[in-house]
Amino acid sequence: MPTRSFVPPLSVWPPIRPVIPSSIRRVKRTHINSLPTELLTEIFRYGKDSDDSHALSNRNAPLNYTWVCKYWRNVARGDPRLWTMLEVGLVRKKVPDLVAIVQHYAEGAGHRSLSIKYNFPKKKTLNPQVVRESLRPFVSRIRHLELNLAKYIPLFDAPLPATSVLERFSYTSSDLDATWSPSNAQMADFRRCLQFREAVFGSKSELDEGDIDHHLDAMRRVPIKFPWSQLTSLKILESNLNAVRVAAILRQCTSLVDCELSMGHCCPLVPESQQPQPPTILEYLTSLAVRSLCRREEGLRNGPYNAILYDRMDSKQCLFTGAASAPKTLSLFATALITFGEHRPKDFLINNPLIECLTFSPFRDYPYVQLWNTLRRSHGQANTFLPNLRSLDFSTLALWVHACDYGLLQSRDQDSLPSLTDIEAHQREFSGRSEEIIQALTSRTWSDEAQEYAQPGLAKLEKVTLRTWRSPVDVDKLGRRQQCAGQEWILKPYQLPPLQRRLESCGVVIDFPVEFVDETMDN
Amino acid sequence: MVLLVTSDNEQFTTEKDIVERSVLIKNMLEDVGESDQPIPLPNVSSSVLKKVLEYCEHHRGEPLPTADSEQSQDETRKRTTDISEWDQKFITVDQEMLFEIILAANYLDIKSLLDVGCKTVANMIKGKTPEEIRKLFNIVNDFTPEEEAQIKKENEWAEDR
Repeated sequence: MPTRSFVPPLSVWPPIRPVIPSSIRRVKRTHINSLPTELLTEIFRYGKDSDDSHALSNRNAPLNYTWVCKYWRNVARGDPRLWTMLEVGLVRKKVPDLVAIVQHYAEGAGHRSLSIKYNFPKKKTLNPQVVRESLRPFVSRIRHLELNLAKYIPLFDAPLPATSVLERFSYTSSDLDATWSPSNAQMADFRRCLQFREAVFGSKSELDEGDIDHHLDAMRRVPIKFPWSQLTSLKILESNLNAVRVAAILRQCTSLVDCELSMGHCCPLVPESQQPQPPTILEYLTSLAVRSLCRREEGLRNGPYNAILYDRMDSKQCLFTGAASAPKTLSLFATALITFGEHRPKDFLINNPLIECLTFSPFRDYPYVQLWNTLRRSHGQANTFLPNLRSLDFSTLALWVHACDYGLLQSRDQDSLPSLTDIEAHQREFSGRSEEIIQALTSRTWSDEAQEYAQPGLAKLEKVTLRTWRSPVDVDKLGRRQQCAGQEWILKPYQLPPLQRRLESCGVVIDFPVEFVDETMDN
Repeated sequence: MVLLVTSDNEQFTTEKDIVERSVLIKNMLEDVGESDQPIPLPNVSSSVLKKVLEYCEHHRGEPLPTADSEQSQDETRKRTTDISEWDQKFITVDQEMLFEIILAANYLDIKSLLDVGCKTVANMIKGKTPEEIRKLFNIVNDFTPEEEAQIKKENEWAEDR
């Protein structure tokens, strides 16, 4: 068969109908290629959405569609919606041709807006010029831009125009040195982007212990310029911004609905001389998650809690403190709890009477005594503490004591415990103070027996979760001492079922989950 | 009750609230008003209509998708391809029936059934190479070697696996 010397570009090929061999037609009356274009397109769209590996390969949508047959190729290339989302990582362990890829997708997407993600967290040799060149021609069409790079690099030469459709920008990096360095001051300027709403930025620090001090005294600044007042969602992840700077940013974010602060290893101390500022009112904020990733010994005065406490920030519905989910490592989690414990959370809560949902995870149990007593209040007194509270999720960390071989409880770190004598007295790790808890919960349920606590304007509890975090190692060792594997809140086991029944009869959903913490990274 | 007549002249009598999950039939009934006249469905065979009605009966009473909810879908965000357990069992049929159901759902304008069908096919394709897809659906590779070479060149940055 003679070979052709000239192959026309694919774009000029005529549309081709599905080619189905007659043999197949005889056997199968309805073939996938007999589906009309719009249905095949719909299938392709679902296929693209379900493709979670994000690789640029012949197994991944939409590229694999374009190589099956001419009909599929025409349908796939003819649907711009298939080409609006692009995620690029290493191909054969190398950075692929970003300029060609983005152009291929942007052409396929027609005039539609684009969602682009570059995922090269360990590729330190990534050429910044190539990144910029790949984005520059389509900058006005990028709606979501997510960069996870080994280094922070300047992205755009000029501020993005007001015509930009950019809504969401996320930039994370493992390069702590370059993160906030002044030399990268013009990384990006989004202040004119009228549709900009969501920002995520931070560093994924991989520093070892020896590097920490080097960064502690560095005051760094954010080289990305955001239209802060437009933001509805802000996540500062593992950043080395200090609490004063974060507080200053939050003060400008007057439209925030959702905020997550997780400060990294290098948060500088808040200067002692800093004068308190007037309260920041974030009147639309419904969700605030605060996590500190500082190590325990450094966490006492650092971390994001300073930002919220410093500013007396109002939050309308929810306050999440401590880990947002079960902690992955003991030391990081413990630091967060110590930090908050040191700052008298009651004061913060008194200043935020609108809170409806409280998730609270202090490291030590002593703040709970204060909280339970304040929730309960004495008979006959008006209860003004968290009057809108409907849901509470309290956690305690029961990690520090384990049963040794001869069956007694022993502290791993005696300094971390309130009193080893107390623990031995009731063979528990945590002084749960059952009576205070039971009274406090009862007083907020408006049950028949608690009618005396009912008062106008005081919300009724609807959901209570009293969580215990344990070490799986301890549970394995315990065996004969089952009481140490259970919940830590109500010390006398016979009190638990009646309490649950009583609260559930008042319409309160109550749970005492026991969760296990992975301590493997602690050492 | 509503009387439906299939392409192979079989008649199905079914309750109105079941069959009104089809926007096409719902509109027809609204246009015609109260009538005993059968509704012809020339594009749907009896075996397929039986399956379609089984689906509609199971999902009777559930809210129908609105035009607004479809239009508001953000193209830069992903749609789920999860299928409920019952729907998965329902759609476990041979390829021919699967494509017939998709075509019928499209013709009868039953969005939720069309979605189940399309998601099922999408899940069948997921993670497969072009050659595996051809084999799965008996599709002939109609690219010439030159065209294949050009496609490969166009996508040099992609990975063959």
